[in-house]
This record gives sequence, C-alpha cells and structure tokens, in this order.
Amino acid sequence: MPGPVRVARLLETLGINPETVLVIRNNTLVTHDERLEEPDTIEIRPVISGG
Amino acid sequence: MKCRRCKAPALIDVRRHNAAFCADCFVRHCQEQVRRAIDGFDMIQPGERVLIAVSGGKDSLGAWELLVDLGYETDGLYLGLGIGEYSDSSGRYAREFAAARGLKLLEVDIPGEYGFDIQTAAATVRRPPCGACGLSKRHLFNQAALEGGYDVVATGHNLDDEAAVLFGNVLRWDAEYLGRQYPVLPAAPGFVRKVKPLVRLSEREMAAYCVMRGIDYIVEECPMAEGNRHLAYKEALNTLEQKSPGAKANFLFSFLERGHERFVADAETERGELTPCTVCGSPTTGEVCAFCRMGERVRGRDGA
Ligand code: SF4
Ligand SMILES: [Zn+2]
Ligand SMILES: [Zn+2]
Repeated sequence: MPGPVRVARLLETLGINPETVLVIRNNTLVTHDERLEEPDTIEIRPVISGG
Repeated sequence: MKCRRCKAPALIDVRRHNAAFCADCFVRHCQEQVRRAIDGFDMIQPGERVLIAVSGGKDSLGAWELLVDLGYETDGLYLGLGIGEYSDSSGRYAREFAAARGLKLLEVDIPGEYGFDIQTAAATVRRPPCGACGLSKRHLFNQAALEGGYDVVATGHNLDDEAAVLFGNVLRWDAEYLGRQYPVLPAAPGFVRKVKPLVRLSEREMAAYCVMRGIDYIVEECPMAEGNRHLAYKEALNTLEQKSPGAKANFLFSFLERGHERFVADAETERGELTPCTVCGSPTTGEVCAFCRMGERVRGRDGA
C-alpha cells in the first residue's frame, strides 16, 4: 500500500481488528495514530494464540 | 501519542485503559497489573517457591520474567509434547530464555518418559488433542511441583484466555466449570495451589511486553490449535472489544467479583472421594488416574 498512511487506517483497510495485532515499524512498536511512510518496513504481528 | 505517565513519545496504546505508554512506563504498567493480580487474589505469599509452566510462547515467558522482576523465586517447567517441529522449536525458545537469564528450567519429555505423544494419545482415547494435552499438562505440572517442593504452580493464562474460557462456560451454562473458574485454585491434599498472575493483562499487552523486553518467543501456533473453539470465542470477544474497549475485562472481572461465588457449590458437589492412583500416587476418583490410564492404553497394555 502506498504511504503515507496512519496505522489505524492501514489496519482498517486490511480488515484487521487492532486488538489482535501489534504493528512494528523497523523493529519498534508504533501506536495507532502513527503515520507510516514509504520506505518503512512494517510487520503486523498477530498476538492471539489458541492454546 | 504521548506516554500517559512521563509524556515521552508512546509506543503502545491500551484502549481499555484509555492510555498510551513509552517502553519503560509500559513495563511498569505490566508489573503493576501482575502485582495487583497476585495481591488481589492472594496468589503467592512472600518467600514461596513458584514453578511456572513455560511453553516458549509470549505469555509464559513474559510471566516468568514478570514474576522474577517482582522478586519471586521462580523456576520453569517445559513439557515436551512430541508435537513435531512445533515442540522442537518451542523448547529451544524456552531453553534460550532461561539460559540467557540464568534461570532454572526443568524439563519433562512426554515421549521420552511416558512413551507416547499427544496426537497418538488423543487418537487412542478418542479425545480432541487439546483435551489429552490439557490432561497431561495438569497432571505433570502438579507432579513436578510436588516432587520439587514448590508451593505454587503459575501459568501464563492471560485476560483473553480467561475471558474466552468464561465465554465457553457461559454458552453452555456449565455450572461445575463456572464454579471452578478462578485465578487461584487453592491447594488440596495431593494438589499444589495454581495461579494465573497474567489475568489482568491482555494477549496484546503480553506480546508488546515481550517485544519491549527483547524476549524472543515462538510466534507460530501449535498446529493442534487451528480452528479450535477457544479461538472462535476469542474472535467473538475481540469483535466486541473493538466496539467497546474494556468489554473483555468487564465480562471477566464482573463474573469473578459477582458471579463466581454463585457456582462454587456446583463445583464442590461434583468432587467424589479421592484415593491415590495405584500407578503414580496422584489423588483420583478411580483406581488409576486419567493420565496413567491414557498412557497405559496408548502403550497397548490393556489391548485397547
Ligand atoms: S493447542 Fe492444544 S495440543 Fe497444542 S499445546 Fe495447546 S492444548 Fe496442547
Ligand atoms: Zn513513559
Ligand atoms: Zn496416575
């Protein structure tokens, strides 16, 4: 997805419930109001486990 | 966003608390929630020895670190379930965590010591894998704690786990389970106390805690978990949580404060007379306990 885009908007576009993931930019956590730019490496890490 | 406590740039927002935190303040927030849980439910007394059940996942490793940070003498126990690749790598995460911090990790390898793995056992006794697994975990953690002289077994069940279990119990109105669902199970003859110190922290908070503390945990799921009911309950609760932050915590804690005691009698009446298992000595209602019975059947001793 072409940036810049806020974390909350990105998750919404992808249909991901923000309660179920962490968003990590270049190895650091970011809050939902953070703006993501083009060259950033973004990891969306699921946090829900089924055990 | 700014950190609610120190106004530094925040790294994590926790909508349920209407707050955001920087790394240091978030770690303190997690420690305070565990402190509150332990004190509020009388989980662990000062000086008691704790055995924590570790799976290599975020919750158990995070819980171990939090207990040690809060000053509790805590050793870990890792169970090898024999679930292929998943068991190999989850064990590695647990061992590396313990070694890096100079903590003591006990290990019980079920295939090595009892001659079966969880999948085979589940198929033999016609139970879902998670049922056979849960039975084995309860049995072996309790036994290891008794043998090692520990006062209490801690597990990494978090707020989401407990809310999901409650949701399932309520869907069935299972009075016996509702009466037993509590963050502390007191000791009884042959059983050590069991506690859930993460009951005030969500799954997302635990994952964030691990990232901030540099705890390397296994992100992949146990392959048996896929599609289980527990996950469906979590998904339903998280849909509610998104619309009204705090819904999960409110559901769980309102039950613990006002609902639980109404079901205690149902849990007690279900408990029959207990005698020692003739194989392992654990208290059981039959001659041989469920865990030993399962082992015997898998090893084919009674021809099943
Ligand atoms: S998902 Fe089921 S089988 Fe896998 S570790 Fe959890 S309880 Fe055991
Ligand atoms: Zn701060
Ligand atoms: Zn037994």
